[in-house]
Amino acid sequence: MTTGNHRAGVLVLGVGRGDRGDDAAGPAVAERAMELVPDVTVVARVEPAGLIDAWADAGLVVVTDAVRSGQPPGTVHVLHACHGPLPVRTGAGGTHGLGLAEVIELGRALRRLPPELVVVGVEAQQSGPGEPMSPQVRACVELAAKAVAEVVRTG
Amino acid sequence: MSGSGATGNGNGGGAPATGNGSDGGAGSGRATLHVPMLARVEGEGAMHVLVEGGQVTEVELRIFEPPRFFEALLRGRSFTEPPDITARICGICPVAYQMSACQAIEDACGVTVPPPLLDLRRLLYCGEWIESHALHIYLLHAPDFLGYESAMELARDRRDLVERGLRLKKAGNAIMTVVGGRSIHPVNVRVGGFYRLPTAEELSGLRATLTDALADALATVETVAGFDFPDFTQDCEYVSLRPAHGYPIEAGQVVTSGGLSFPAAEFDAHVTEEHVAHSNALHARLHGTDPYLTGPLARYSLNSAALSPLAAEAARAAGLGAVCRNPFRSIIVRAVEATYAVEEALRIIGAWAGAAAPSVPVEPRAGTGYGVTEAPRGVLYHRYRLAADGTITDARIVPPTSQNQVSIEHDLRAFVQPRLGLPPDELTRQCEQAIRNYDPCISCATHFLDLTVEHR
Repeated sequence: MTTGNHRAGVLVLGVGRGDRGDDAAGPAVAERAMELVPDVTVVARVEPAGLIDAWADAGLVVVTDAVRSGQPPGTVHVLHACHGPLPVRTGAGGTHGLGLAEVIELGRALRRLPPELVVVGVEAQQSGPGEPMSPQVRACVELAAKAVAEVVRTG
Repeated sequence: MSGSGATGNGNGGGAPATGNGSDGGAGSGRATLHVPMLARVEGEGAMHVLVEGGQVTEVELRIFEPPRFFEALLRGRSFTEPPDITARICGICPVAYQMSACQAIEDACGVTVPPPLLDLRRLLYCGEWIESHALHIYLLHAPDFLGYESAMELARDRRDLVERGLRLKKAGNAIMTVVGGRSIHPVNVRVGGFYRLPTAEELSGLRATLTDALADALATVETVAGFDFPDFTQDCEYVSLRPAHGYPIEAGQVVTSGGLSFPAAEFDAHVTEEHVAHSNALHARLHGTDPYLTGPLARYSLNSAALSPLAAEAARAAGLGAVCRNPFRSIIVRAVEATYAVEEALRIIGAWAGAAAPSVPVEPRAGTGYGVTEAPRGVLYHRYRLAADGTITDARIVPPTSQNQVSIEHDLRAFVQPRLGLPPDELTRQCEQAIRNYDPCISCATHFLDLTVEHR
């Protein structure tokens, strides 16, 4: 799931499940970003609890995930997580896992956040088992991937 | 796990929030308490408590259960696909699904996997146990015992503890990466064995990490043994696997505390499932009547004699007897099992002498196969019926949480009754802690849980 000749210290990580409707947005955006920024290491799917280890040596990390904030489905959020808690709710791990927002706060408490951490979130609508991504979210994957590329280029 | 907001997003299926339970005395009219339990994104999982005349008359755990969807998805697919497809059911225990699936398909096809490959499967499974138990102990359950709202708050005060948990979890990840190809949803597992064998160097490269992990696991047992445990005893039947040798992980006969012993092929004859109105999960019972419990307490109580000397000594020093029936002490059992899994991983790596091939050929044939393994949270049963060309014509998956649901509700009823006088927030907190005793897979990945207490 990684590309070759990677820029040192830059990492794109996708969070979400492929078979739960719009929860697939995170991996889908990461996969598209893989094509847009071939010189950056991209891991399309990471379990949230594994993020702290995954970004251990990185300087700039972009995490892609489905989020909820009440905005219209497909809305792309670019959130800088180093300065404080995320203002949106991210897909969570239920009773035996952790969600992205929780892991970021855990990383903050442990002083194990990367120097630059940006979340590119796509506003989700549906997440039922076996559901496809909603058309609104699917239509915004490209936009979100370009946002990832922009963060990586300017970071 | 912020637990903020008095009514959550209101889609947990409970009645509107009209009070806080303060009028819950005998015969005092009706009020409903609605408390978000684990603040999440959606509300398909929920706990509902009905109190009538001061007595808890009903406890319902509403469980969302992905396997039903996957059973339908599997029909018509090739016999080679269940390990990859079912691994997607749970982000925390994909190996359990892969192992039960492989075992069942190989059973249907009449294939026996040679011992070195079985050892490698056990090693991979040890990685998942270590990872899952470390996550549960440190990030989910320890905060309950230590009076923290979440692992994030615990980390602010006890960074050392959480770092130890993450180190232990990472050791499990390392095994999953080397044997499974990657740490989540391993891609190296196939029917008949593996796609690629890890090299001797890759395996021995795990030694240093696992040696450190053993110290962390033992320290974990010591730490959790010092927690305060409510005085609570469960009396249900225990069900686990029991292999010919060692502690049950990837294989074994199904055994019960009532003295039954049967192979996976007889699981359907002993375990019946029924639909209940309040949950889309099926409720499992032994012989149609008896609720039972599977998972660490059952495993330990039915197999404590099979632990390694080091793990057994850790258990003894932590105050565990040969049998443990206090579900709150399951956190100690998980720590003991993590210790055993680290030791077992070191043993398998130390004895590894290679395998003739990464897999054995598996030719399809018409028939039915059965697989049963010990997921971190309990017995996981798979059954597949194949057509002659290997097409799956029927699939049945019975996960641990649906087997435990009746017993969890039974336990919670007894647990809530003497605590009805607690302030709602404290009652919620204690119920969360009690539910986490069973490490239930109530709501994978995108769901959250509401608690409603209804007083009549």
